[in-house]
Amino acid sequence: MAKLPRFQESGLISADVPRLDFANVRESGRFSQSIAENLDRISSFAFGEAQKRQKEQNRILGIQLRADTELEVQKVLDDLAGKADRDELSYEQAQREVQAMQGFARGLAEVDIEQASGLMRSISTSGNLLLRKVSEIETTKYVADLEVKSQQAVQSLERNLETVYSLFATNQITPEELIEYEAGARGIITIIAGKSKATANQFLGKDGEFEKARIAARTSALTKYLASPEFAPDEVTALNRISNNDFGAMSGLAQGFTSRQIGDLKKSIAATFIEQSQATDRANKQRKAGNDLLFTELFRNYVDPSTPFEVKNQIRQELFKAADSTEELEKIINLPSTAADPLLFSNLREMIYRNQITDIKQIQKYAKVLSSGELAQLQTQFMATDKELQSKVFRDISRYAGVPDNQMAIFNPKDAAYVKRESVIGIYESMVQKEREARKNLPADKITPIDYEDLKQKAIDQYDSVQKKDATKQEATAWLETLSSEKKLKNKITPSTSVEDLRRTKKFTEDELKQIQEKINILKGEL
Amino acid sequence: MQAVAIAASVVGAIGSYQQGVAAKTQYNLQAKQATIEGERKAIQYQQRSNDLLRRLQATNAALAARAYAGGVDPFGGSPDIVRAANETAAGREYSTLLADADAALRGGRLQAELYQQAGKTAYQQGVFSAVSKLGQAAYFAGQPAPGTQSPAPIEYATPA
Repeated sequence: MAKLPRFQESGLISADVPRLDFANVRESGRFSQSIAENLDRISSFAFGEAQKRQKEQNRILGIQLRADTELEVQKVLDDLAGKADRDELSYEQAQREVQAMQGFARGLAEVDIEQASGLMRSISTSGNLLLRKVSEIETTKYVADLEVKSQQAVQSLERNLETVYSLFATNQITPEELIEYEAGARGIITIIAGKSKATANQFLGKDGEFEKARIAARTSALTKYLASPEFAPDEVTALNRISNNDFGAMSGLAQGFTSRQIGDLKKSIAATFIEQSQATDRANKQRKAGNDLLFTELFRNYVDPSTPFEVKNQIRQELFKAADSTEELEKIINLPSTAADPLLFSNLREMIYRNQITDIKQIQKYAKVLSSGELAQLQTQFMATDKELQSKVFRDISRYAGVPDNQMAIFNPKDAAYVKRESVIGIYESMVQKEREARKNLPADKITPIDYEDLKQKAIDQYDSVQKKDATKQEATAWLETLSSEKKLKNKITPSTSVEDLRRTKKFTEDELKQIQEKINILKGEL
Repeated sequence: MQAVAIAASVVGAIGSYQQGVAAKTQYNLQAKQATIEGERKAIQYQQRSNDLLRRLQATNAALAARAYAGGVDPFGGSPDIVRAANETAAGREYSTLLADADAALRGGRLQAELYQQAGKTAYQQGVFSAVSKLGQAAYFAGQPAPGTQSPAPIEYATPA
């Protein structure tokens, strides 16, 4: 059979899916994109505006925060500066504080970078000022510490140098050893003060502290030696030698001194002498002050009614020792008596009145129990009574001599009555003196009163006796002269004439010779 | 400068709106065009399906003729089988073509809807853009001139 016609397929396998243009999706996408862009623009704009506002707000906030922070920072810095002034802040502590404050600026950077950088600059500037101040204080403290140590060393070395210099006077150290010692001392100061240029200049310079101390030590050693007895026995001799630049055994120490230093040395010595004198005065004043205190205490105890008499006696002796002024002596004088017998004073007055006391020792023996005032009164009374007695004696003698009482002022001293009076008074006073001499070494209770009336009479008698003797002598002289004249002797008969020689002349009788011998004896005072 | 910015914004807003309107119009046209295209394609597919039926008919006729010529029962046996096979094949293809036509039609309508939606979206976009630009203009108009006022300081609470 022929092949049957088959339907020819056109080859369609599946339905043709039409291709769609998703314009809506595209437009939606575009719309969304546009929305997004617009919103982005709006948000950018708004964000920009917001950012601008925020930035402006931050700027204002930053300004306010910066102002507040700067205020706080300044307070902190002022407080730290105060601590630095009181030496309570070290450099490391200050540095930490400044770094901590810079943290405020970092915190402000999150708000406003410009204000933050300004605050950082402000903190850094103020912080640097504080650090510089602390550094200067620490440096000053270090230098001050060096100065203190150097000064202490200089003072210690000055004392040592002075001791060494004093050995110079006794040749216990030679000039070469001295130079070595001084160099060693300077080396010590160099070690301490050389750590800082300022202290090195201050202590080691030509007119530095060490040089001043060295000269001061030499001056002090010289002064001590020159003011001592080893150099001169007294101040005048010392000053004379010093004025001639003679410094004795320590002259070597003054070598190298400038004229100004020599002048300072002389002033120092003069000041030392003045000081010694003032020290003596001060010692005396202190002793007086001590005495014044002692006197006051003793006086108080004396006037205390409860103090026994025996103690008062001792106190009064001590009061006299402690008294060193007229006022204090007057106080002692006016003290009441300590005598056990309250009538002693009046009894003594009576005795003086009755001339039973003719020697001051008879009163003074009661000095321990009588007060100074009573004693003084008795002594005054005694002297007045004694004077009155003497006056009476003199008046009696004057009357005896024939001198009227009221004619002394116009009386001629060569008048016989006056001469007689003076002679009798002379005899009387010598007798009184003899009596007083005899009683001088006697104890007070052995002294007997002097009888002035008796002595007066004795003086008159003695004068009369002398006058008689004189008259007798005159008579004898006249008789001898007459006899010599009668016998026509070549030489008059004098007390030195030998009777045997007269006998050999055979001009005289035995009676005459006997009479001549009597007259001669009279003239010789043997009769 | 502020006035220029405002003016530029207003003009821009107007332009955006117009652009949106134009885009919508365009998409509407495209939608219509898609619809027409879909229908055209559907018609084409229908034509092809009709052609297919005609070819089938021709083929079956030829089959019958040939069967008849061959003295075979054209409605049974092999010719029937062949005819069934032919109808099956043709039917398959016919279905496909109908589906294609339907798909084209649907596709065209769908495309049109898509275009319409795109048009709406473009219009909305234009409106939105215009509003946005008008808003910008309004903002500029409401801003003070530079240098005339600074904002008030901000109050803040310092920590204790």
